[in-house]
Amino acid sequence: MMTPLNIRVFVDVVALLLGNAADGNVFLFDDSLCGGQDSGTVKLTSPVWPGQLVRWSLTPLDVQTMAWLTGVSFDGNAPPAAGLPAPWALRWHGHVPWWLAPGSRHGYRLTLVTGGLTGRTITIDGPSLLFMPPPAGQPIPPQASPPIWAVAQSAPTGG
Amino acid sequence: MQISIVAVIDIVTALKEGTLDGNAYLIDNTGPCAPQAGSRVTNVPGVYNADGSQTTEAVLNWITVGVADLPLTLPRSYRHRYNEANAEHRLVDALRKATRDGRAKLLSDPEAVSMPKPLLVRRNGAVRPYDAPLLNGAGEVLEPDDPAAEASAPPVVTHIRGPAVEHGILYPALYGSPDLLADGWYWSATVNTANVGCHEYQMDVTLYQQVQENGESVWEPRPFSLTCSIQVGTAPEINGFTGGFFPGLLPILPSCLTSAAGEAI
Repeated sequence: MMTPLNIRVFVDVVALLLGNAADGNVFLFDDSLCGGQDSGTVKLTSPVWPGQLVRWSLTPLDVQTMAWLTGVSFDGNAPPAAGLPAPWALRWHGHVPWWLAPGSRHGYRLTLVTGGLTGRTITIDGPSLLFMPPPAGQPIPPQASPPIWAVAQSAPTGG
Repeated sequence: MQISIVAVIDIVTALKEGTLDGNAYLIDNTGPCAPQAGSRVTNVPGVYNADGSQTTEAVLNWITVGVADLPLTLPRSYRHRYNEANAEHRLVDALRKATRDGRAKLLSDPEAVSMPKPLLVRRNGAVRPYDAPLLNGAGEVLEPDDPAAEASAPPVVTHIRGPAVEHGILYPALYGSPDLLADGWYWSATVNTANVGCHEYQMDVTLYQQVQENGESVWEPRPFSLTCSIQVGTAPEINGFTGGFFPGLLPILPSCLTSAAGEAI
């Protein structure tokens, strides 16, 4: 079974609330066997394989300044629609799709909320996932078509 | 989730009335998580997995502070240590310069170089000096026999007990602390968030009252107890991508290649 990839996000929430940049105040690490590039910075690039489970978790550096991860969105797309439950009950885990080209990189945006539902929302750009071919000895996942939602959203919108 | 419970105590009135009721106020950092459940009630959000097991742990930390006390962020002893070091320096300097007779006199009477008076505190029946100063809200050292100093003697949590502890909902623990008046310990607890509902516990707090004994000011501990509660809530853990318990595929579109294959990263 493929090992899950854990991406741990440490955030100096107070610094971000004061309007400081994410550089130097957001620190990302992963436990990839290949080693993520720019580990410890907001520009972390994590190598991932098709089918691999990726898990994000957020830890405020000042543990008593509450903050929760409320969104992970890719390639400039909108984060999931509102209506999600209380932010402390949310978990951000997902499997890497198999329809992506090896070597392609997909930047993502983290959205976090401080102090609960009425708190401030902060977005963090910079980290990305780098798609790798399946590792030697690992079964290749079934080559299926992308799901309908993916095809529909990637279709040209005219113009 | 780390939860801070700050007990703000009107020390002078509590000592006068002999009770913390009406003289102690509990505030915490869980306001964003749920509406205040009542005075002296702390919300503890709980989350469970698809199989019903507990997925988060809450940690409680109790901090007591007098209304007129020194802000918690200032080290209590810095000015005292500075004064003490200064006094020791002066004593060494005086010893260097003194004659043999003068040295003997200095050593027998260190007050001659203004050594600070120790704070005398009764603990377990015995009066002991403490290497901790009494500071007012401005960080100034108070003399131990200053009658206005009672308001500045920091309250100390001495025990967390009661039904929530006996029923295995609160698991109190003692941690090391640089606060010498607390004997170097402070109280914390983890919460078993699988026990949803309101659970009562008692916080034992010691305040210090100045009494005169054989011509000296001695600080006597006065035990108080405050009944408080935790309100443990519950919510299912939800995957942000799927809106359900279980993960699906990451929402990455096939045509969204942001860099060409093989491009250096």
